[in-house]
Amino acid sequence: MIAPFLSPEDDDTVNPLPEEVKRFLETNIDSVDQLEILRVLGEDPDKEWPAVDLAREVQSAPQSINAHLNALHARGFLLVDKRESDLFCRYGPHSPDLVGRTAQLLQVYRERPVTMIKLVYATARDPLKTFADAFRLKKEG
Amino acid sequence: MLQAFIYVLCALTALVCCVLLLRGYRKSGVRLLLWCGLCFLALTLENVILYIDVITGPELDLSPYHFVAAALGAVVLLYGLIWEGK
Amino acid sequence: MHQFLLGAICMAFAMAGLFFLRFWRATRDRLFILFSLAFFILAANRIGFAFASEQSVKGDWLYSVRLLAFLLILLAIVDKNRSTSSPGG
Repeated sequence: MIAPFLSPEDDDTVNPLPEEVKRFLETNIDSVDQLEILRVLGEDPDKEWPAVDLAREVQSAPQSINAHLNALHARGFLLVDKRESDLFCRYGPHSPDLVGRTAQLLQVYRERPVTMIKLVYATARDPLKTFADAFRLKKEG
Repeated sequence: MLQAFIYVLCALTALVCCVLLLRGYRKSGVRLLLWCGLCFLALTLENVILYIDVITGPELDLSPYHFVAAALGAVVLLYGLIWEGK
Repeated sequence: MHQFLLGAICMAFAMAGLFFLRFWRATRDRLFILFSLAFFILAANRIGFAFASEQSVKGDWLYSVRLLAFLLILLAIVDKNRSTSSPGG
């Protein structure tokens, strides 16, 4: 991933992200790992990934990869298949609307990775989101 | 008695909220959850005291205690919402 | 003394209800509107107690109103865990 860290176009205050992309990200993405998972899966939509390989590819902890995959699956981004004790996943938004919005999300992520990552971190620390998320009984990672 | 049952249910709900919020605070460090969690702890206590008050009958009056519990909960909640909410 | 505390608690819960209402407007998360309603009901419950006569304090439908508030909170929790399956903004 090429990230022009000091690029002025990446500053959200100078050149704000589209509002619907922001909202989509704030609602559906909890961590940078999840964004990376979508990116990697989206690059080759037909490829099926074992969770272990995916964890290595996105540099995520193996323990948390399953939680991320389940969360993204629950939100309708991926197809997940459990065989024996291993999890396999593939890119697969569950509705045409999601297909478009996810593609848009990944497009913006490609163009402005630093801004998107900053937004994920800002969202993760948001008190209101943290309050609401505290009531999720299933730990999504 | 229905009233006692209602207090138990309220106490349990408040306890669930308290546990979820305090667990969330421990994970995230977001203080809003701490204050709200403590508020629900106080509400749990309030409902437990009310329950005891009801089942022990008129000879034991615990009203100062459940009022104080609720008041403490309300104060803590307001403090948290004012200072820590967005 | 009881009346004073009732009034103070009522005001505090009503304010909390207003805060949760503001949070709902900011986030559009259903959990906050349900919490807001619950705290408004808890506030209204205290008003009911303030005006209730001494005899009716124990054993009255006012307690069911309290239950309604907590049921709304339970509903918020259940809803939050069910809606993890619905994506989108």
